[in-house]
Amino acid sequence: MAGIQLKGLSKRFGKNVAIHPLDLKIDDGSFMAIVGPSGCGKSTLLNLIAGLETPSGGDIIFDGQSVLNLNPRKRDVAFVFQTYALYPHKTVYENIGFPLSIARVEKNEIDKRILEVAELLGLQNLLSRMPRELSGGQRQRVALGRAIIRQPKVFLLDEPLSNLDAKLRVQTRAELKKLHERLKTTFVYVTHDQTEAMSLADKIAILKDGKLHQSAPPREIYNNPADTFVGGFIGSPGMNFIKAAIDAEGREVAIENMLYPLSQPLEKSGDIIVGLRPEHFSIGEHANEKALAKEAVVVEPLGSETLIQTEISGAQVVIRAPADYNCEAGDPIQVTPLIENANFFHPETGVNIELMD
Amino acid sequence: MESRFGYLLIIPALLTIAVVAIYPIIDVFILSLYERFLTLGIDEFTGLNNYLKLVNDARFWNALKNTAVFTFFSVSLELILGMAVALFINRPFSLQGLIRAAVLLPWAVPTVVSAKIWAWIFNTDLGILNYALLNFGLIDADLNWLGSTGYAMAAAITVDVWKTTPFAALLLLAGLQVIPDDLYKAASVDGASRWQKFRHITIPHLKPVIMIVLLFRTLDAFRVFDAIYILTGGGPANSTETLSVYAYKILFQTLDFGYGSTIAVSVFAAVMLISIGYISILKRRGGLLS
Repeated sequence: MAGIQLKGLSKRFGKNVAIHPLDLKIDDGSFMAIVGPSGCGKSTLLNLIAGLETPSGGDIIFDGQSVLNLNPRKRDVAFVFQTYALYPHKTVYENIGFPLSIARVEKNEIDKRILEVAELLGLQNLLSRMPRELSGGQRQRVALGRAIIRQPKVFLLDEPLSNLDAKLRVQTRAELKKLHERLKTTFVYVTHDQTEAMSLADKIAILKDGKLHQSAPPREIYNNPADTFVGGFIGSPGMNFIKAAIDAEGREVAIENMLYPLSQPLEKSGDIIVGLRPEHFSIGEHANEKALAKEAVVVEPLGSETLIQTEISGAQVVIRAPADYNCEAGDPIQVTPLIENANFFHPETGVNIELMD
Repeated sequence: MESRFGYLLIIPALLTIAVVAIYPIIDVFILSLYERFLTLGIDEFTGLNNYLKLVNDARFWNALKNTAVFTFFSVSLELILGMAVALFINRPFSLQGLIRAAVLLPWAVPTVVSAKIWAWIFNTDLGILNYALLNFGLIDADLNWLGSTGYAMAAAITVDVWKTTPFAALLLLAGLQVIPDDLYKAASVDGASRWQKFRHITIPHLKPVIMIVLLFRTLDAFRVFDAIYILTGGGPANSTETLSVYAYKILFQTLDFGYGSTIAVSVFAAVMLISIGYISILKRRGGLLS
C-alpha cells in the first residue's frame, strides 16, 4: 500500500500542454477519483502515475520515495483499462495469472492465487474460457482479477465501467466499492461520470484542460465548489448560476428586483454570481415577500422528483421539486432562492469568493 | 428462388475463371499425356509415359531440389527481415511516411529490371559488389558470383529477398497496426519485458498474417522464373535451374510440348498441395479464413 504525492507534475505532447503543473496528495488506502470532461488530461495523469508516460516536469512520490525512474512493474501498480485489455489469445485463467507467470512465481502458488481471485470475483466457472466468449461485465471482472492478483501497492482504474450498460454499471460500482473496503489498497479512479466519482470516492480531484480545479471530499466539493466549472460539473443537474449584485456593505444580495439578506457578510460588493443547487429553491403557487414570480418553461417529472426549468436574471435555472408537485409548462410559479445555501463566485474569474485567499 | 438468382449472378465470374484458368489447366494436363514435338512433327498419345520419364529424370529432381532450397531460404529470410522492417517502421519517427514509401520501392520495380540491376551488381569484372569487397579487403580477387555453383543460388535468393521483403513487411505492418495499444500498456504494467510483449502479444496477433505471408510467398517462390532466368538462366551447371525454368526450357527451347507440360503439371500439383496445407493450418488456427 502506498500514499501518492504529485509535486508540480506536468506533461506536454510537443506544443500541447496535457497537464499543467499540479500538486495532488492521495492518501494511503484512499479511493481517489479523478474526474473531468473528455480531453481534460485525466487519463494522461493516470498513465503518468503508472509510468506508462514520462512527465515533462515535476515529481511522483510513493511513500516518500520518488518513482520517476522506475518502470511500471517496479512501481508495483496495477492498471484496469476501459477496454479491459485482456490478452485475446489467453484463457481467463492465463490472463489472470499472467503477471505472476511473467514474474516466474511458482506454479502451485499461481494456481492457488488464481483460484482465490476467481472466487473473490465469481469467475470460478469461466477460467477456461477465452475473452471473446465473455460478456462485458465478465471481461471487466477478469481485468480486475488480473490487477488484484498482483497485490499491488496502488490500483489505477481508467474508466473501468464506461463500456458496461447502465444497469450493470451501477451494480459493478457497488462491487468496486466493496472491493476497495476489503483490500484497503489505494485506488486511483479516472472517470468522466461525476455520479461515479461522487458515489465511489473518498476524495475527488476535478480536472479541466489539464488544470486541477479542486481536490476535496465529495460532500465538500458538492457544497463548496471552488469555481463555477466545478459547481456546474458536479451534481446532476449541475449548480445554477444567477447574476446578482451585492450592496456596498456586503450584507444583502439583489436578485432581479428582490433583496436577500446574507447571514454572513461578504468582503465584496457589486456584481457577483450566485450559485444555487437545484434543491436550494423553495417553490410554490402562492406569492410571499421573498418569492420571484416566474413561469415554468420545462417540467420533467422523473418519478422520484420533478425538475422544473425557469429563468432568473436571464439565466436558465433548474429547480428540484417534490415528485408530486403538480405543474405544467407555462404555469406560473413562485420561486424563492434559499440564499443561506448559496455560493458566491467572482463575476469574471468564476472563483468561489468565500474560498479565495 | 433467391439462391437460384444468386447462382445466376455468379455465372459470369465462373465462366471467366473457366475460360482463363480451368481450360488451360485441363489443356496442359491433356498435353502432358502426349508426345508432341513441333520441330519433328511428332504428335501421339502416350498415356502416362511422360510421367514415368519425369520420375526417372535426374534433372527434374535437381530442379525440384533447387526450387525447394530457393523457396525455403528466400521465404524464411523474407519473413524474418520483413518482420524486422515492419517492427521498425511501425514505431513513430520523423519522416515516417517517406521511409514507409521508400521501403516499398524494391517491390514496385519490375522483377526483370531488378534482376538485371542485380546481375550488374554481381558482375565479375564490373560489378560493385566485387569492387566493394576488394576495397574493404574482404576478398583478394574478383569472384564469379553468377558463374560458380557455390554462389549462384545465394545470389538468386538475395535478389528475391531484396525484392519481396517489402511485401512481407507491408502485410506484417498492417497486422501490427491493428494490435490495440492498451495490450502493450497492460503488459508493461504486468511486468512483461520487450521480448515477452513480442512473444505474448505481437506474435499471437500476427499469426494469421504470418500464415498469409507464408502462403503467398511460398507459392510465388515455388514458381520463380523471371528473376532466375534473367540472372543465371538456370546455370551454372543447372545449379539454379528451378522447375519453372526447366519447364520453360523444355517447352520453348526444345519445343517438347508434351514433356514440358508434364513438368508444368508437377509444379501445379506441388503448389496445390502447399496451398491446401497452409489453408488447413489457417482454418485450424481460427485464422482469417474461418
